[in-house]
Amino acid sequence: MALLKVENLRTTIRTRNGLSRPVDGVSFEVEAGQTLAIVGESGCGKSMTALSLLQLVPEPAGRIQSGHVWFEGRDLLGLTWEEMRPLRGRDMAMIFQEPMTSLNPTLTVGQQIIESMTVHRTARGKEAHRRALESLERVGVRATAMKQYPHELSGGMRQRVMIAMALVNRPKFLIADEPTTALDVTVQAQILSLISELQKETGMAVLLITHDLGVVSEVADKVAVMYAGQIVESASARELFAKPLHPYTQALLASLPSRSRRGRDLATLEGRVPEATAWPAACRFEQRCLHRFAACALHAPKEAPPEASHPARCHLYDPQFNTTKVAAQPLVTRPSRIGTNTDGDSGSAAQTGQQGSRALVEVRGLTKDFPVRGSILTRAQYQRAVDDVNFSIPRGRTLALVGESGSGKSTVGLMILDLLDPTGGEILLDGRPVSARRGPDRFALRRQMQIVFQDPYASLNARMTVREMLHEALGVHSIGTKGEDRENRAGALLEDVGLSRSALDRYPHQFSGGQRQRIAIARALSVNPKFIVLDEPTSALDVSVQSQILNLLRRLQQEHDLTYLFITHNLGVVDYFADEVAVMQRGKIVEYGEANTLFDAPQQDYTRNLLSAVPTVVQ
Amino acid sequence: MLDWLSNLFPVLVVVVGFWSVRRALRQPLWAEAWRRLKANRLALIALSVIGVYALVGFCDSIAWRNDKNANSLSLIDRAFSRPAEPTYSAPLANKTFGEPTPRALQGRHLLGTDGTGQDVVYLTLKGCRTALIIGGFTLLIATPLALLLGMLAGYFGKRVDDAVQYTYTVLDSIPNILLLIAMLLVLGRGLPQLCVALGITSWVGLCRLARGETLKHREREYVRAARALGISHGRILMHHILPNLLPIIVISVTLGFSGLVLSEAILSYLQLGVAAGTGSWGNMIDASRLELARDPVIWWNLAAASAALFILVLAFNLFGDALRDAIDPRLNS
Repeated sequence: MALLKVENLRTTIRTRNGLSRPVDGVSFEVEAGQTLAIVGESGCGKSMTALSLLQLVPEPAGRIQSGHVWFEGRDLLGLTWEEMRPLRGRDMAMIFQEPMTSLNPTLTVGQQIIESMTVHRTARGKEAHRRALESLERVGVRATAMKQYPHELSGGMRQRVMIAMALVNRPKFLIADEPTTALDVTVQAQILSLISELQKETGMAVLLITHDLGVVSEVADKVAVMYAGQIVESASARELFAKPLHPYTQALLASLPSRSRRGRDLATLEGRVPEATAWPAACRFEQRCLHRFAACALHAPKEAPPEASHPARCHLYDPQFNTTKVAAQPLVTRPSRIGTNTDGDSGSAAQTGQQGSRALVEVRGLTKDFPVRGSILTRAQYQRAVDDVNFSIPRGRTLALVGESGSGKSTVGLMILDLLDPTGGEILLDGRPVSARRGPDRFALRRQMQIVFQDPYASLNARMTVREMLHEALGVHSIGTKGEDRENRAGALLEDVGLSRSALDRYPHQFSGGQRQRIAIARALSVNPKFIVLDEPTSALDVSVQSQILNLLRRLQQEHDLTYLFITHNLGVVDYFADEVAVMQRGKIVEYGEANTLFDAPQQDYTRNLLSAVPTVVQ
Repeated sequence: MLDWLSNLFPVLVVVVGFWSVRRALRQPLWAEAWRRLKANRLALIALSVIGVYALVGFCDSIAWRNDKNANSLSLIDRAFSRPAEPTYSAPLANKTFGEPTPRALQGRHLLGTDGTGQDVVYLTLKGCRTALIIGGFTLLIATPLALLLGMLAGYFGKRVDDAVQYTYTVLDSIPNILLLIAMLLVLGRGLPQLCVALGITSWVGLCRLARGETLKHREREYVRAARALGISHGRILMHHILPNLLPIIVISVTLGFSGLVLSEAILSYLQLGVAAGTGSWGNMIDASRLELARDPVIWWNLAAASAALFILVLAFNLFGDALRDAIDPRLNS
């Protein structure tokens, strides 16, 4: 019998826009010792499913409407809050995405771990202390951390503490909601292997919620793909990646950037997840589906198992609807707007032709010190964030700057753009030093270099319409004449990034994350730059949207002969996108070279570690 | 001629007020806030109460003289002033109060009369204009000062920040009432002087807030993107950061208003407020100090002034709270 069996779970949340149904008839089961991953884009109800299991849906707006959660033969949904309490944290534990906010900042780590034992009366006093130490040691946190406060630990350490806390009572079932999303790849790899090790030791079951298909492929035994409040496909991990059935799963997998797709457009998933207040009545994926046919808009698909072990909620596998097509045959999804191979070849040929030309951007001995402490009375101390960084980017090419958080990559980007004064070194644009320019010269420089930031929610001013933003940028540099001319230019910019002119009158909050990122790109393009710094431009986006943005950036690079500095920690994107790669560690470039060579034969240990830590989808 | 000019001013204030509210409501943030505010009945009641006070204050500001030698009389004077009675009279009484041989009154008074025989309703209404002027004009002095210094300090940091922080820390370390007394001694008593004095002492809180918020927004990526486009510091402050601070400014100004009205009453009670001739709730409360000690007690003077003050302050506080909820729905939960 399965340890946990969820049947037809439905959770609703009252919102201002009506009743939202984030979990709408979800069923799955998890065996002891097994890892089930729930994957899907944001807004599909993954987290709410996890919270519903523990009956932790936000009160009073949220309500579990119906369904059963069988845990060791007991239906948890029939239990009261008081009956549920001893289960939470003892038999079922949960770790959250944000290690920064899920620990209490006013209690020491030790106090918090011990508390989770004393409330459940599993241990007390010296025994609790001993077990807390033991569990910290188990997750690789030094014993001195017992007396430390959460803010004194790094993000990775805090997540380990969270795991130690969750595991100290030896739960039978662990829910991990995006446990590594906020962490660096190397830390992520450590945390994931730690969870699997502990799982092997104790035989607990794990429910892993994530949007990272790489992570799923590395650790999950079974996978459930969730879309619009329903599970649309579930299978063993190996089976799912080898033979994805549902068009949604196929699209997600096809949109992953990788070297084999280099030079071609990635498959994209147009549109967005519908609002949870108004799921479509028929197939919920119909509008974005490449394989839709007449019946899809009329009937809701049933869970149609081509094989009992691999059900997919799609009409394609339902003989009742799909009689013409060969049922139960995995569809081969190729990129929707496939860039032909010649296209890619000509691109790289053009690039090789330019290789001999002078570098557009050159960075020599760039250094930045940040004051750590300093006041009138004490002498300031400095920490070197960027240490003697050298690289050059030929015109029309992309250099990727990769490294873990805190390695100084973003600082380099800000210094190149003259948004931060370097402590030492030189930045040359077109052979002329950037920092030496003053006054009008410096202003003209702004036109040639632009930046696109990670978070499309923070990088657009919430109080300005798109028109105001674009007109401002054009106006500052006196591009075009006031009025109609600029209006046309603004419209053309939007069309260039794949938005319609009607977007001009809207405010940022009226757009999705991907659309906002397009607006940020349009704003950067408005002044006709030669060089754009892309500071983690896709890290805040879902994979399906990431592929759209990457396609857009690639097309713009070719059309406008742009040069990119691509700052990222996502090595899959680098492998797909970059011509050259510079690996940064603690402010220094430790390895620098042509992308393929560097990925195939990394010379430095650090690069090797970084590469091996990246979870990859084995298809 | 002079009448015409002095009447133009209140009209202008009202027109500018209406115009800016209408303009703001066209923006989605305020339109959305107004939509939520409309659903809150308490907020609407508070807003209507404030509207009634504002109307009284406005009517009291529209004044003209009947002939060249007479004093100019406002709409309120014309509508509510009554011939003076000899002395105190109880509400709706027909005889004077507290005299061994009560005299007959010229008419009945809803809330009675004070020691000089003036109608209490009339005096209370006259207090409205003073309260609104104190609240409004003090904020007109304090808010720009606070925003200017706070935003400059937050945006430029370093020396500018040190200077601003030093200034307001020093100012804040002197007891407010002491500072007010000192300033009023220098400036003299009167409505404008009081506004200036209160303005100088009341900008610190908003300045701190503006500095902190600017500090937060300065690090936001949209500001960095604006700098990367080469947009000037002044334009970034005015067009990018200020609109993002407006919600908290509006909230803090609304809540600050009631505090200032109370300050005026307290200062007038300490005989530091407006001149004795100007109608003011503080002066009324001050006058009623001795009346409460009399037997039988004379309560109507105090009650009218306190009630007027209480209702206005309560309305502003309720409205400010509702506005905060409407602008930032996250605070609801």
